Amino acid sequence: MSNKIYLTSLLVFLVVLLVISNGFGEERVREALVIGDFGEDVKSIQEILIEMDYDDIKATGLFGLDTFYAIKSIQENNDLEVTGVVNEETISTLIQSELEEIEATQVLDITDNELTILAKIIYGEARGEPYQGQIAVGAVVINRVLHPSFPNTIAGVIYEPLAFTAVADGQFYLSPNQESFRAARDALVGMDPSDGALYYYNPAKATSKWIWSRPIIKRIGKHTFAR
Amino acid sequence: MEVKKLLLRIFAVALAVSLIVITYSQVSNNQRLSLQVENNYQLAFIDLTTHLEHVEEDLVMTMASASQENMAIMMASIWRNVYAAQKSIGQLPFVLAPLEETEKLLFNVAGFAEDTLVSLVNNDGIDMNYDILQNITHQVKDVNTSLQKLTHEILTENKSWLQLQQQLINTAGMPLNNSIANGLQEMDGKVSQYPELSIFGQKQSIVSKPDWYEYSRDISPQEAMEKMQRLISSEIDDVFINNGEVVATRGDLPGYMVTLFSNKGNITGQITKRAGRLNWLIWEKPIILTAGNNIDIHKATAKAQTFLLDAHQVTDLKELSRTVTPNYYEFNYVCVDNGITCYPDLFWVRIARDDGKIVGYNGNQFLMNHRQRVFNEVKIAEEHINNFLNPSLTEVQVMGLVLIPSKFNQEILVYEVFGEIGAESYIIFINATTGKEELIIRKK
Repeated sequence: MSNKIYLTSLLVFLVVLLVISNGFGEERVREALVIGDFGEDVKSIQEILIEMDYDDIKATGLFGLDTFYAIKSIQENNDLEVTGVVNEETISTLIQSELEEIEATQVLDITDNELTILAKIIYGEARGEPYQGQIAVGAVVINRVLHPSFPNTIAGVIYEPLAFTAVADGQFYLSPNQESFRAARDALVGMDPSDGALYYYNPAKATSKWIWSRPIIKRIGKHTFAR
Repeated sequence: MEVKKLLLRIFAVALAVSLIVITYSQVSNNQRLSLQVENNYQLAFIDLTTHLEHVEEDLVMTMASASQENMAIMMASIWRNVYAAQKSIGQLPFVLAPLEETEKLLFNVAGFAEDTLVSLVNNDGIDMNYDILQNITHQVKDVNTSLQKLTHEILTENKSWLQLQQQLINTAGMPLNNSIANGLQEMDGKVSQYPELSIFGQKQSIVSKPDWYEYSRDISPQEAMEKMQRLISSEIDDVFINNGEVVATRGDLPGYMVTLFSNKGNITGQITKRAGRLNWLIWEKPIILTAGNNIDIHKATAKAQTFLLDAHQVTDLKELSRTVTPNYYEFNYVCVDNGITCYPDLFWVRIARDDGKIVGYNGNQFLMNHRQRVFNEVKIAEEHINNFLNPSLTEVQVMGLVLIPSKFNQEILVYEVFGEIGAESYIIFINATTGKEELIIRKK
């Protein structure tokens, strides 16, 4: 009996040690999709692959071998690192092959990187929200860039300390999905469902007295948009 | 048994020791990271004070200068330093309680520097506006005095930005007992004492109401709902609407956000409160392309134009660009007035490829900008355009007269000219009255 107790507690100790030591290497943040992953993210990727004529892919949400080989071939065709791992570069390439180039009717002149981080902030802050709510988050970022009281670049606005919870808690580092890229692009061509908002908050969670004092424009989904 | 007990004791000690080691390394790691963050904030603040000191120097020196050239150089330096100061502010944890007045001041200083620089370069006889210069100089001096006081406090009393940040997060607002926060609030308060820099107040893009505002009346929420349903009546004849919702919105163009909940996705549109005009529309319709239902792009353009005619009574439209994706088509249109393409009157329409329905629309630009226009006289003949172009340009094509928005909410009549140099393509806009090169765009 005591043999068993001894062995079990040793095992528990080793497991605990393993878990803790993993925790203080680098901050563990999920950055890419790998074979074996399961979820909505994977499903969107598979849907894009199907549209790109990879016929044997099924949009099950499970990253299997078929998906793995398809990703590899896309990476090869686009001079990316052929790993079969869906990182941000791969996602941008997948999206770009669906969207044409962005024309000069954009509100702001931006680079591919800025489109990606705009999609990331939308995904981190508003995934699951109604589509116009997602566009509205992107529009708030753009409105801030154009406004004197905020930084003058998209990155500056997004990374401003304390500005976005998704940036502070790491959700910003998740891989954005197709919908977020579309919403980012729509915000860039001037769609503003928030009507010029500079702030937004979740009224069920916001505790700042100051933010509640801002004049309210409207509510979309779980966010209230304000000036 | 003895061995067992010994092993258990060793095991217990090993556990205790490793827990201590783990905790210690976690704590020291955290300390190092916190210091890094604190250092970044300190750097940003010191940079801010440095840049603003340079701005003050340049402003004061400009007061005494008699040389156009030197003044131009100092304006450029002021413009550059304000940009850097703004960047530094963006790296400090001020978001929950912004320094609105100070940031507005910096924006105005930059605007003043840029404008003055341009007139000095143009040498068009416009003198330095010494009243504004003096006003700005006083304000910047005030800001710098406050910043100096604050810097001294931070450096001698080891005040921490991280502490301020933590308080901002905890009290969720401006903490009243943090001296850094108090110092900044005081500084911002001083700036707000100055009367509004009225010249820039007019020039800044204040969102003024569009022309048609005066000639119409406000509508009620019910009318907004009816209007919405009427506008998309042809789109929803095979769709079942089971509910609707109207939400008032108080943005730049006050209006009603109307949502129709249907069996084919929600349709949300914004109708303006004044005159009930359609501002934008999004339909989250599932788009399922099969072999048989791919809509022809010509049908799609026709559909888009009919929709715009119906919603805004615009007939003369020019397609600016089109985007083709696997699921939808997107078109950008601008209005044509008397043969002149007016870029500020912009529309964007998205058509689903499976059934040709309108799934996206944005006419905000058109609503804000469209008006009865009287165009300036065209004094430059098309044949003489080359005199105003860079001689290195090849493949020059004059596309015609267009209207483009310029700074300060104005519109200018220009010639649109395509040209190339080597592998680069350009669109150049030449003022049709003065021949001045107004804008260059790089074609990608």
